Amino acid sequence: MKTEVITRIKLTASEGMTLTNGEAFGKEIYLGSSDSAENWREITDKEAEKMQKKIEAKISEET
Amino acid sequence: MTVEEKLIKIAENEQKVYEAWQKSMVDGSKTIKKTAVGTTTLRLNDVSEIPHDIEVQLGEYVKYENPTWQEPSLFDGWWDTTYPGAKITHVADNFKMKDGETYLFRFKADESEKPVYIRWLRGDDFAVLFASMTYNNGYYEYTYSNTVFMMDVTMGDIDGGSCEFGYACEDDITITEIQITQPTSDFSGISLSVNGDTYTSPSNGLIQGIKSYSPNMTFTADEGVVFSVKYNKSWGTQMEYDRFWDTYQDNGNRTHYLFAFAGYGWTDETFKPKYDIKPRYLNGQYIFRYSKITDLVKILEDCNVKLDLSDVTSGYYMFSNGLFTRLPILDFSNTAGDSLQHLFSYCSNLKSVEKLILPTTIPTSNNFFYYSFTNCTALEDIVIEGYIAKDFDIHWSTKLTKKSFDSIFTALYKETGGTLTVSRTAVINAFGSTENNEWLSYVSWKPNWTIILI
Repeated sequence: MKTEVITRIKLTASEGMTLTNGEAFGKEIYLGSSDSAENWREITDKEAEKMQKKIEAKISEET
Repeated sequence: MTVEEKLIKIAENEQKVYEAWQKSMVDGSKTIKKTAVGTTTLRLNDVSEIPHDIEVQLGEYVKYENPTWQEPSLFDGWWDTTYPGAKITHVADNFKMKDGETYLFRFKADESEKPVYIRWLRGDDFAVLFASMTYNNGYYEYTYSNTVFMMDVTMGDIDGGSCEFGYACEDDITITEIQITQPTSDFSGISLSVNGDTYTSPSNGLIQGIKSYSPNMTFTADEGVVFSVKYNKSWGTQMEYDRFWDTYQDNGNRTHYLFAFAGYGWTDETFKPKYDIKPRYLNGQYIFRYSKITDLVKILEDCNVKLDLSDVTSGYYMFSNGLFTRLPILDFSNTAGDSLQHLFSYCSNLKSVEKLILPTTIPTSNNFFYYSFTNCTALEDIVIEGYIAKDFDIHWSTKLTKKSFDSIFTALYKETGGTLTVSRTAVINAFGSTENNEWLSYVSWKPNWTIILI
């Protein structure tokens, strides 16, 4: 039997804020092994909504 | 016997015909029967131009149910004195009789063994017949031969005269039905014309094998001949069904299903495929977009057909904006070269997906799952087979079960990594809290994956 302790870095957005890496958005982020906190920044919920709409529009155009 | 073509109105209850039609639409095996007298145009309004087998029985009675009775205005004083309790009705105003024929009148009553007299006003001559009726097994009966002088009054227009019925009974019974039967025992030689084709009746009066290619049918017989038209809707319905689906699915050979069942016209009632649905390549896109079909699992089971998507290379918008509640096994194993973008987007009633089979090779497009689950707010159960090898966002689904989470995490492809976005509410609903150990063990399971809670 093998026992391991796995550490995950968890980022939690402040009240009224959303975390984003430019493509994905979330309130709590459990970072993957190839991801890092530097890839994520806090923006306001309103900004996040705006960004998401822009991305959606871009994808709609491409498809 | 010569046949002349005339048009008379059918004394039918339109509501009963409509209800019979409605029932027959649900249960296609029902036999529909319509009765008429003499020359008439019958519209079989629940059939199509497909030929239908029809049979006509001569000599059945004409039936008038729940006639409206009123006090007679004619000979009032004389009525009351001689025949107290008299009532009349005009339901059979258009009933015409043939000279020399014998008719049996039957009045259905709520009481038996009363002295009931039938009253019968003929034509314009005020010729009135009064006769004592005989009670027989629920009916008061009287047999009348149309050659009799009545009451010392010459019948000026015996042949073809219309009738007003009445009855008199001192004890005030209620007549709920009038039947008029032409008790001819031998119908040999009587001709019936149906849309121009002439049929000659055998002695039992049953004419079979009449075919109709049109819902507008004209039945023509001699005046006074009562006939009953019987046709089975299911035969035409089945042929109609076969004709449509054989064509629409190319006898099972169709593979181009682009938009095939898209749009509001496709509902649980109209979507009844006859053959397996097996689109190929890009021709699976948009198949059910904006469809109003709900339980696709049940419909496919009821129709005994499969939805086989194993040959499609794209699930683009396949079910988007649909009203689906349940979806069956969806085999997208061959779609790695394209995408499942908008696969279930805006399926806000979707509760379960029996199994979503994903490719076991890495998709070429990073947008493979983009907006696949947008607004799937009712989704609870989903089983996933194959690999989730690209970013997977299912955060609209706040009711995912623990089993669904297990299936999703199992499918996360270790080697590629990516981002999995789920609803924070869904995690709390399934695991109790985001600090729950079981939830955290899932988080820890695929370290290459960034797990995002919204």
